[in-house]
Amino acid sequence: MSRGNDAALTDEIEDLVKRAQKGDNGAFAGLYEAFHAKIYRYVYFKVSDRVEAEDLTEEVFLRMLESINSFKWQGYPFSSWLFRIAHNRIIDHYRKKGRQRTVELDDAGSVVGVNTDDMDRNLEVRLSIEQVDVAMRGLTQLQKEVITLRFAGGLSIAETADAMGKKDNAVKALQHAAIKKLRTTLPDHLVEQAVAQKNG
Amino acid sequence: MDEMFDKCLERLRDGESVDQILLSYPDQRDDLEPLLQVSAATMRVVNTVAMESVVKQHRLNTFMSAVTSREGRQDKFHWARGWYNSLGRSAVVALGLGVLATGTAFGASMASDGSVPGDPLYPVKSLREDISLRMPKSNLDRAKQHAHLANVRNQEIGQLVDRGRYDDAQQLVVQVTYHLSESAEILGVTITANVNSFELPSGKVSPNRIRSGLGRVRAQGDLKAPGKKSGSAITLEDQQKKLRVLVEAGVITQQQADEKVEMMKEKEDAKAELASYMESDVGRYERRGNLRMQRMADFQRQQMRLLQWQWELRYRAYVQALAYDGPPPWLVWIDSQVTSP
Repeated sequence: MSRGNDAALTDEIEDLVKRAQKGDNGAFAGLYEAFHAKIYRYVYFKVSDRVEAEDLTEEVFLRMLESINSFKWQGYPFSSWLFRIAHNRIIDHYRKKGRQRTVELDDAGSVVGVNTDDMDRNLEVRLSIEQVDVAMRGLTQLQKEVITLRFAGGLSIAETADAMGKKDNAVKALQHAAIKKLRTTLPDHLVEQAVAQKNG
Repeated sequence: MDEMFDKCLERLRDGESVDQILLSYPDQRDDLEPLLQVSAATMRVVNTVAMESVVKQHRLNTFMSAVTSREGRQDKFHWARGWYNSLGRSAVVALGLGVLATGTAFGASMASDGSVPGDPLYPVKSLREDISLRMPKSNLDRAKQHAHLANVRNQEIGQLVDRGRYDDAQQLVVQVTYHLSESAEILGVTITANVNSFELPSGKVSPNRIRSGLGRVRAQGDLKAPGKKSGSAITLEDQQKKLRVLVEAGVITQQQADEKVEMMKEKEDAKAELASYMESDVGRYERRGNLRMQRMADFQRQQMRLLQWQWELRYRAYVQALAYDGPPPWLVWIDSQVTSP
């Protein structure tokens, strides 16, 4: 996506937020559509469980609904605010679960929803997701937070920095270190598949 | 290198291939290529995660029902809680009453008071806290309860450090932030904070580094506190003047203006009472915490100090937010850039 498109999207989000703050129901639907997939992916890689990720994503949007009037345009983007809500919901979730930080994917039953009807492809995708999820567990908390916000949440460096309360340079350093670490933990075949797909 | 790598990642996100990107960095190709390939693979897999369309539609319907039912019952300060919360509260209250109905459960419940995360009775403590937050009560009571739970978490931090469980103690700082944020938000104050803002050093740190770290925390806490931005504060008196103008212009009635002022006064009183409650609650635990710290070995005491500064930063921002003389809502930034001081 080009920078021009980013700016247009930012303006569109700002317009949706302002309309939502005035009680426009359609604007809420627009915000849901704009952020739902990103929030779900972010939450999923934090909790590693499909149903929990679905429930938490719903909670995030209900929380947004409750508190959207408290959001002010004061130098940080709406997306950072929304992901902070998601982060807080996840923390609350773990507190309620008695600090069971991880759900083993093997025990989680149905792991994740993927948009494909092909059974073999579905299985392959699920396996890949599981492998990435396992590889990410080798990261530090901060590194994982950066990668989930950047890759799963689709946030820019500035938005990630705002969401985490860090400086841009600190986020860039964490991102670089995280990818270096993933290089040692991510299965080679996933990398080869990505390269083959790009080339073919 | 961080900067260059980030530029490459942005181009990758924009759809360029690894080979295309590398053409711009021939000298760094060997370093960048494997990292970009890993990034491309991770992005590709992460983007396949999606909610099933049927589930998504169902969840969207739930959300839009909440949006629709929100109309007409939300006041300016968000005091009203929706049916969604009410239903959840009823269920938890019923469960709580069931649990507390038996003497054994009651005993276990009381015995869980001193437990910390990982203890067998800690889930009982969590359940009790959850019930206490969901029992029907005033907003001020709920705000006080969150403030109290922030204190309880702080006590648990001390207990965990005492047991040498530094990583677990560090995790609890995040929950301190959560409870303080919730407490303030009930009264219309949004506190934004970085909950994963620091990592404890694994080795001993020189006292000078600790002192300079503490200085930075304090400076940032003060600079970002509310009321520091010029022209941002609107006092109750200012608001009353504005309302008088609106009444004279016939935009609102005198009764509407009076009601608004009354509501603002109630909110200000509630904030003052909450701040006072928090101060006394902190005092209740202070001596015990100091005694515990005196017993600690040097390294333990260092870790405890670092954790306590994280607590102090959040506590100070919270108290300052409540003391701010203006109408809600407003924002408090806690800029905790300090990692291991």
